[in-house]
Amino acid sequence: MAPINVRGRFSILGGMIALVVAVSLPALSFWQEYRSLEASIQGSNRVRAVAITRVINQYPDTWRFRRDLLAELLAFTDIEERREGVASVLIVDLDGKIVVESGAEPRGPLIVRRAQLFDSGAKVGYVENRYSLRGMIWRTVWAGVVGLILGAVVYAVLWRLQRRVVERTAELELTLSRVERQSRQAALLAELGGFLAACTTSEEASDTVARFAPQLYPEWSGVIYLVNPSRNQLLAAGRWGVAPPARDALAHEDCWALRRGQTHRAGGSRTGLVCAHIASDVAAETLCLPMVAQGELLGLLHIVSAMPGGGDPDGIGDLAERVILQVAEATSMAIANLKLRDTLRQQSIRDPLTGLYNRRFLEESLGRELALAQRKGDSLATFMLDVDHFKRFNDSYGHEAGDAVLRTLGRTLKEMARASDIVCRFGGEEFTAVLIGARLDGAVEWGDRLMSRVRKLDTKGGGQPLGRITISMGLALYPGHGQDIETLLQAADVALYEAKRSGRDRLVVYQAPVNDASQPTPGSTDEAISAT
Amino acid sequence: MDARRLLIAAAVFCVAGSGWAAELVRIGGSGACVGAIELLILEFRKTHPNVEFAPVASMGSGGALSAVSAGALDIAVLSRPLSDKQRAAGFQGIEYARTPFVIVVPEKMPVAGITKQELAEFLSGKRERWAHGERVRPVLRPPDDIDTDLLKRMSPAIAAALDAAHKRSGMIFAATDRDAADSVENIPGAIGTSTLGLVLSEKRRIKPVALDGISPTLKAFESESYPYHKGLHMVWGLRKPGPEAGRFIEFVSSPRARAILRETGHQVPPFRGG
Repeated sequence: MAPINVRGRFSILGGMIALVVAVSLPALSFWQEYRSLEASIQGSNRVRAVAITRVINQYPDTWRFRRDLLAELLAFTDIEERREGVASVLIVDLDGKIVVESGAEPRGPLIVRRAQLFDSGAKVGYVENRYSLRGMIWRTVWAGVVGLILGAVVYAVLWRLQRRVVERTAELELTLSRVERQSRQAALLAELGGFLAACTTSEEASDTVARFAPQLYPEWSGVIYLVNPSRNQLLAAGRWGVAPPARDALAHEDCWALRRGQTHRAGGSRTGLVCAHIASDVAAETLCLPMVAQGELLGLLHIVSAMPGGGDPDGIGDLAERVILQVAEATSMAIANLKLRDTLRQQSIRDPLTGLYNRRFLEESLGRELALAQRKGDSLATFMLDVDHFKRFNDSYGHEAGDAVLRTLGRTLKEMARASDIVCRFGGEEFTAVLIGARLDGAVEWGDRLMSRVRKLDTKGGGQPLGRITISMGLALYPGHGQDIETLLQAADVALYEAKRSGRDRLVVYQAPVNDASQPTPGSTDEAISAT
Repeated sequence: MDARRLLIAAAVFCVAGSGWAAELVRIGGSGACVGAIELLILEFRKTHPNVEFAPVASMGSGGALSAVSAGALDIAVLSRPLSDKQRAAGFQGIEYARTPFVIVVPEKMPVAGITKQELAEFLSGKRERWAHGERVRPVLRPPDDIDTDLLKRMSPAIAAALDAAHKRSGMIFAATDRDAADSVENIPGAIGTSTLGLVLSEKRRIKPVALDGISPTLKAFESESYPYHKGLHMVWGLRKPGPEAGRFIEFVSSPRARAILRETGHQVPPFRGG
């Protein structure tokens, strides 16, 4: 459908109304004055005619000769008519002869009205009033001038009104558009919140934001930065838009928002300071929002309102800033929750004293690794190890010394394990190490190296040397010594027991009994491989 | 005629002013009555010189009734009877005389009589000239006047002609009986209505004309050959008239007064004919 030309139609309508006003004022003025004058003339003529008729009735034979009396009756008139050249009144008989005349002939154009004279009901002549219309015409001209001015004023008022209507309509359309956009944004924000709640990592959350942001403001670009683990800089974790900022990392000092701890807008028509991480050729308005949760800086949301050099007439309005702030807050909360969840998980699977995994984690992960090894046909080595004469450290140097021994051993184990290996404190002074993919010879070699390194540890408790530490180790292998967690750990424990029984500071490999392979038993001395 | 009326009024006033009596009798009303009443007052004061009379006002029957009601007059003289409504309002009165209702023309006009058909044609304008060539100029009374009513009762043709005449422009109108008599006296070719009593008591220069061949004399009226007349009434209000006014009312019924009335074209009670 073709758009309606509101201005054009208003102009025509306004012009017509103004024309009507301009024309109607003099027309109405003339009409009203003419009617009034005509009624006045006819009224005075009737009065004159009645009075003169009475004279005629009284003196039917001689009335026309009573000129003084008739002239007196004709002189009965209003002030306006008395003015020379405005009006004249005369009595005319049936033959057309003027009987009496009052006043000079007025200047034309004229309005002429007559009233009949009677002699006892029979017409004998008429009284005629001639009135000049000049004065009325001049007044009509003046009314026309006033009408033109009034018409111009009416047109100006209508034109202004029309402009206001058009502006109001545009404002209304804009408001409706904004409401629709806000409604859509609210739905998107709710959806984003749902996705963020389901994210498992900060990176995934950042990526989710990068996918939703273009739907909120398709014309804008942006990048989300996350604080790196060392907390010395922020790294780009997600980008969107036609021309997102290209910088991958920024320092705390590069951004005014990070420095001041609050939202910072720059560029466009603003005169604020531009952050160092923003390219100097960016003409559009930019927005930096620090993502903070529980007082901790988690990252930065950086928005560019349009393509570099393109410019955006609207820029980033307060409303948009509030929406982006909601995005930043939702992202911050999601990341904070992920960090909290991660912390809680670490606390649930880590041993606080040594920093190693605990027994719960071992049971969770060992089952998974066994399944993986089974699927791949791979092997897996499980060590159970124990500090020799640990009670003696506690008794001689106190519990703090015992804790120092355990921390030192834990650190050593962590250093010697690969990233894929599982090292945990099983309980008390007992530890477990699972070497993924290890075979017997590799596992024995690793155990020997561990025992050798432990013997060389210079452990101190309360500032005093604690003396030489040794450990005993039991080794069970998958799939030869057990198919599941329980059997495998029990086999390793049996081997550890044998290592203790046979003199400590050694490694014993589990030897399955001949009669019952399903029940783990320690291997014979000659079968055991021990490190010297 | 004007001079005569003034003379009578001045005489009444002088006679009244010469006395010492305190009571002033105020009489007014229809012009058909005034001339005869003035003659009666002159006669009454011969025997009651101490009674003073205000000049008799010719103000019409309706105005006189209002004046009596307001206490401005002691006696109203009317040319029409009291209505039931006026009697219920407390007005009382007597019909002291009747006089023929006549068609009059100027005294010197060479016309002795007309027919009702001619009268209708004069009024409607169908006939504009008298037989002797003079223009006919009807003198009309207001539509609600008793004379208009009496004229209309003469014939339907006259009633229709009269209605038409009232609608014509430029007609001659007379408000009272005396105005009508004045107009007929002064306007050439005039024809109007009056009463025999007014014409005779005021000795007007107008003459009643025969209607359909019957002259409007008192004799013709009393013999019932001329039927048109006006009843003349003396009326007073709830308040009883003063003793002097009461004596005058009694005087009107006296033989002397009755003789004067008859001399001036009035029939006196008991009435017959008409």
